[in-house]
Amino acid sequence: MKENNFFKIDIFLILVTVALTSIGLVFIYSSSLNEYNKFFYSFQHQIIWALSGLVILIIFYLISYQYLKNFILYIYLFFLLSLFVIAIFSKSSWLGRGLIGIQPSELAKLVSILTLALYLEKNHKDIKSLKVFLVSMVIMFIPMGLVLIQPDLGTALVFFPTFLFMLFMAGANIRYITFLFFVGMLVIVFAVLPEFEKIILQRDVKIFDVYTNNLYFFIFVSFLTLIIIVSLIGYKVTKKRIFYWIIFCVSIVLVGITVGKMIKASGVLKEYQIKRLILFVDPYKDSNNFGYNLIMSLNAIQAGGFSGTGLGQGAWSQNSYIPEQTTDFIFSIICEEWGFVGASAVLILYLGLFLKLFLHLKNIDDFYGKIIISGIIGMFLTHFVVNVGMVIGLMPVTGIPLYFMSYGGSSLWTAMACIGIVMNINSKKFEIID
Amino acid sequence: MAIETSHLNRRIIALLIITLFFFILFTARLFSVQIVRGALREVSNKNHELYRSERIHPLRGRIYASDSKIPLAFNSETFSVFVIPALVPKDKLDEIFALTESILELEKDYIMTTISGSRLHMYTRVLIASNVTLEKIIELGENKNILSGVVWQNIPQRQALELRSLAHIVGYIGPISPNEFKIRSGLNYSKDDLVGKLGVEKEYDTILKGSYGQEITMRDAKNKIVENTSSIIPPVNGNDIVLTIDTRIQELCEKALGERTGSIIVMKPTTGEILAMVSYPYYEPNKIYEDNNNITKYNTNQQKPFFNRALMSSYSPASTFKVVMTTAILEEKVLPTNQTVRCTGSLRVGDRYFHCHQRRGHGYMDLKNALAESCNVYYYTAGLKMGPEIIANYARKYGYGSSTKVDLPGESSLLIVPDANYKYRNFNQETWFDGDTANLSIGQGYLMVTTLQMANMMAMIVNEGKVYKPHFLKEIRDQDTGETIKTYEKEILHTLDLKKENWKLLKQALRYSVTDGTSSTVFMRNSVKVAGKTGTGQVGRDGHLNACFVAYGPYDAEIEDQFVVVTMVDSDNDWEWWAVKAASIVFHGINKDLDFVNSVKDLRAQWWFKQDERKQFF
Repeated sequence: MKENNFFKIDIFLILVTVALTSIGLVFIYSSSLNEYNKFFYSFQHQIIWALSGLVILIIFYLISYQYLKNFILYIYLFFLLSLFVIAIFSKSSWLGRGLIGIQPSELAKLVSILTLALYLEKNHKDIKSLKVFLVSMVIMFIPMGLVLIQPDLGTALVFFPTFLFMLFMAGANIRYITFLFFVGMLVIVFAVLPEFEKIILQRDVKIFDVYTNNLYFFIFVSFLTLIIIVSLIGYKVTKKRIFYWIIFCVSIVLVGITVGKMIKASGVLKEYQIKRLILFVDPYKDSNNFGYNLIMSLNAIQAGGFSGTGLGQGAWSQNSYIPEQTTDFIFSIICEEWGFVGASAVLILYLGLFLKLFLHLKNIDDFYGKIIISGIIGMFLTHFVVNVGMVIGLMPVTGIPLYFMSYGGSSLWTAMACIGIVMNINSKKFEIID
Repeated sequence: MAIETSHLNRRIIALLIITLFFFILFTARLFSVQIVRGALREVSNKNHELYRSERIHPLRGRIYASDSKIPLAFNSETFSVFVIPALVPKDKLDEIFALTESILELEKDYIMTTISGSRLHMYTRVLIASNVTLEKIIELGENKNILSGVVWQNIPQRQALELRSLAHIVGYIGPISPNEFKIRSGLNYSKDDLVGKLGVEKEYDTILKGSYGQEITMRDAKNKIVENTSSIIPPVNGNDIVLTIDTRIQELCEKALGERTGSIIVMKPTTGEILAMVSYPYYEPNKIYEDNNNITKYNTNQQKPFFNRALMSSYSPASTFKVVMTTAILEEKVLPTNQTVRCTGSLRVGDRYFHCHQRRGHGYMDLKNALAESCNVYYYTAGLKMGPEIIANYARKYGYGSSTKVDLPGESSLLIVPDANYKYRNFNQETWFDGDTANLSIGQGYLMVTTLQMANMMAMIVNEGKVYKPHFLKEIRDQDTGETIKTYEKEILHTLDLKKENWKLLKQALRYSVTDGTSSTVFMRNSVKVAGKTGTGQVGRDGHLNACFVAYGPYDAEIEDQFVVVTMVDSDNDWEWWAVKAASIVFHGINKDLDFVNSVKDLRAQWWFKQDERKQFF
């Protein structure tokens, strides 16, 4: 059987992975060219991580994903514990420093995916039930909450779409998913609304008083609750579907606005986090502080033009204008030095990666494998969209890495492990048919 | 199972569509930023620019006296000291700052507070001291090994010699005021420029100032200059100016006037070159450059040291106006030269008596003697006979009532030759009385002139009908090569057409008034044959007199060798005759090439001075 596996290696995934990782290495090296030299160690580290990452990829490819089922719960619990320890005792999201430092929160995402997939498989029959949905939420949102209070908002946010992707592909009730999706959106909107009014709009918007003024807010929430109660009675009496949908929609608003208000009031979101979330709308509103990164990134991207300035030649990239230029903002270096052509090429590589993952998603019959892949797609896509969107000024600045390219061992290992698992799932497909 | 599969496949397609949506969105965004380039706004924020430009100061042109040996105003070597925080080793921060502070005599922790803590990693230069002397820079240089991150730059600073009376001519510079900036719009000034405030520094500011150069460099995010990216547009240094001033004559005049409020002008009549112009009191530009507060001190000084009395003050010309009257009498044949008028000490005009300064009367006076004795009655009679229009006409031809266009700012605007129209406009009196004519005839009343205009009057006589524009500019030179760019060419300001013999008669009369008139004794020993006229004008009602003397000489010499000397000693001095005496010292000194002390000794004129002033002649 072993020989067979080698022939069933997904050459395309390997090539895309190696290509993206190599491009990442090239630009980390390019960043190390400037005279401060501080990124040369990054380059050396990244080479080590890339090579060890490939080993991890192969290990996960060789270990049957079914075998992981046996002990994934223990790993999950171990990670919960370590996240808890970090959240309570540590000042940062790191364990250790430098080359041997790891970010448990990064690996926790994959562990959570595997755990949730196992749970969903076990409860395949009741997949549409509310109970399964709620337990799934607990499995995913406990680590998410622990990451959030580290505080690592960006990584925490990744759990949310990953969860929705997995439940969606598992065949969960679409209404629960829709409900949760909109509530999540509203929570974010309401959590940042006061700052948005103050910093971006810079004027007093009367309608927002319903939310910001505590008395109005209380009246409004009471009013919404009243509508729900009336509709509930109406539904019990008449059994008309219209009441059900009224309850559904109003509940979304009620829960969204209440949780948003609670998060705002609780102070879980620090003011700088909120500022970063909203300033992408108009970075010039705070161009020296929180808008600075974004303006510099846009400067670099624009300077790249069609064909770029050439490797190591980017004026913005090479003169320390781009903050976090090897990690969160590596894509803007690519945009400057390789221009629209190079950036598009990178986008096409990612598109190829996603299309291939979707193809596997379609072709896998094993439920457990399918859910894992959907979780990985959800996680990859969230990282890709949030990171690239941030760099090009379409998404909030949250500071999550671009998988394969950004400097960092934990994220690279996670991504490699994911690819290994996907390849393993894919290779097992043939086994089952055999 | 098949139903479920197709159900799940639809869900896959839904997720795929979401994925594709983001790819299309991102590609479109990249296209708009990189190809269409519309995402960025122009921000006037230095932190958001890759290229920074810094101005390079030009050297301001120097100002020389006519011998062009040592510059009167020049640029000195003063230094500004900066700290580049990122270059200071963090572990030696306190040591380096403490040493720098002690050398530059700064307060403790001054540097640390100037560099606010957040900028410690930046390469931006932070100014910590300006106007630092060379000695202190040498001391810093000796400690260069320790003081990493401390740098200095030579920033040209205006300085002047000890100018004394030349201050009024050279002037000083200072920061441009908002108003000055507005006036100079379009002349390439910027809001933090230094600009000439008085004197030649102001008059020829555009010639002296030069223009800024620029150094454009690429900077990294910490403001450190990226190597090999600097491009320099060199500054254009200002041009040097050589003045017509002869420093020896200037010094002679300065000492001849001494500490008496007033002014002396020495002018070359055939060109209009001003060889000396002294106005007492004066200020010292270097004191202003040393400490700006001295401007206030000068401004509040009762004696007005900023005031150049030679051209900023207006006086009644008094008896010196009789020169104009004499010209008119000769040319208009108002009275034949030998016809006498009897002076009884006063003349009744209308219902008022107009007095002569000689209360008992001069007796019978002809033109020559009337000028020499400065007999008012004679000139009342002649003036009334010819009428105010003719007098005013001749006064204007001599240049009175209009600007001398001298190349020094601040000329008095009170330049008046009165007539009926003037009186009506300013005093709302319709009638011009004979009394007004009588007053005008002896240079009193509404008539207002400057000392410089009087000098022009004498130049007119030397040149027999031409006045050249008085000026201080001799030539403009390139500061770097020393080449002459432009030489001043003389320019006729006024002309007066008289019969040749009338010029001769006028000159004779002026010579006679020195040899036989009021001032004869003062010039007894003088080596120069001087022609001239005294004048004492009454100011206010307390009996103080402005004493002045207008003269030229040597009388017999070629006109190219003659020079005009005008002295004016203000009424607040108790030295009524000093104007004449000062002129005598100046004439003798110039002619014999003597300095003040020797000129006085040579004239044996020590006795003119008060006891305590005589020491200098022993």
